[in-house]
Amino acid sequence: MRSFVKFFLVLAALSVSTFSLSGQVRLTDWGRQRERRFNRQPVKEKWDARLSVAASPLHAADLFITGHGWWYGMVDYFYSEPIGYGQDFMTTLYSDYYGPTRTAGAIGIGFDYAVCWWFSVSVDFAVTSFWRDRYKGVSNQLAGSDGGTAFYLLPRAKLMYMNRRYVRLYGSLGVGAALYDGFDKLSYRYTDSDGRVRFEDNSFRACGQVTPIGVEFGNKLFGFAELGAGALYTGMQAGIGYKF
Amino acid sequence: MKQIFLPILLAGAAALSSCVVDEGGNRNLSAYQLRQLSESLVEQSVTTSVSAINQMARDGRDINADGFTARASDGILIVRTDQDCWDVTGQNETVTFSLTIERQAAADGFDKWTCSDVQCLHDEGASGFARLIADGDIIFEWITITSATYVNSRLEQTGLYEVEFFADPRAACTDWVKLIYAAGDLTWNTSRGGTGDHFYYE
Repeated sequence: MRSFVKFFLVLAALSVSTFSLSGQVRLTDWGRQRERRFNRQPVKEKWDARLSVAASPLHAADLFITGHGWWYGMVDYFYSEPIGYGQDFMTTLYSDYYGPTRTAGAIGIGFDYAVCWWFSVSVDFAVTSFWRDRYKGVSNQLAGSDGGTAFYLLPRAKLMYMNRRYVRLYGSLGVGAALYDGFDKLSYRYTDSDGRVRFEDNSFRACGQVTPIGVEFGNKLFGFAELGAGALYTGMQAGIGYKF
Repeated sequence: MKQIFLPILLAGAAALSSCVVDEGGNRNLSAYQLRQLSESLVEQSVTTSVSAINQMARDGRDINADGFTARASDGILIVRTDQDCWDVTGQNETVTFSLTIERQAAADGFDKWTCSDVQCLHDEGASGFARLIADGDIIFEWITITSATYVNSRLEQTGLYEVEFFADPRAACTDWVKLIYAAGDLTWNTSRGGTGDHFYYE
């Protein structure tokens, strides 16, 4: 009899525990489904502010690769412009030259406004500085150094490919302006027939930025990374932001 | 938080890897530029002089007349000194030069020209100078290329030039270039390396 009671008690305990476990599973599935539905909803906040760091600005390459523009940078790798056979070729031959031009990348702040779940407008302000050393042509001794700073203002249209609470994919297109002050602000273009030297003023110019793909992680406080090409950066930009 | 810091780390790595926007370096002082400038000295002195006197001969001018003196373009003065022998001096905005030209006349009109005592100077005062001399004679001969459809004749040179570049007029030679022409084909080497036997971009 005792053994029968024991068996019954064990069976009862198993039944209760099994019932309880299956109840738990059902509750968890329901919670997950609810969570998934919740996560699929787009973020509700309309505004966000971002801090960003970008890789090398295309504007820099455009300015500093022998003044030819970035597309000639490729050509310049294989081809050196011959020194003209003019009256001053010795001066040119042994003139000072520059070491690598470096930049810390563009540091920027941006603001987005979500017009609807799939479209935002944004504006980016960014600043970057450049520096390089100057060397004597004959002795290769350090002769000095130069620096320059560029500011960018870039309004952008931002298209959300996917807008979820914790993950968002987007692309953007921007057109704006760059203001530069520093070395090579004026770059030599040509000497006209009257002997007047003509310069190109690089201090203010239009600029653009194409970002085919970018991703944001997080909810209110989020991180982002994007790939693109243009005046602000060529390569990658990333940073953190806050939605409000 | 991991989701936020990962992009920041990636951006930092990207920024570090791309911090050089231009490699820089001395694009002016190179073997390529030295050779180009040396060739231009040859072109502006010897080649131009021989072309000028050869053209006069082909035009039927009596270049062997007593007291023959002629001014060619580019500031070249040609003065007859002996039978089939001329002194040439020249000056333009870039160079001052002198040489002696001797002709070996050919019945078919394709004369052979020999240049000796070649000197050419490009002077920029305190900024330095470049000096070209010929090591031995420079001989210009006609090279004829014949194919089924055409015959092409060119006056081409054979000889050795040395060019010295002085960045400081009071100091020793800074750079040198040797140009060796063989029937118009050029081989060369420079103090900056870059030996070559054809036109190339550096």
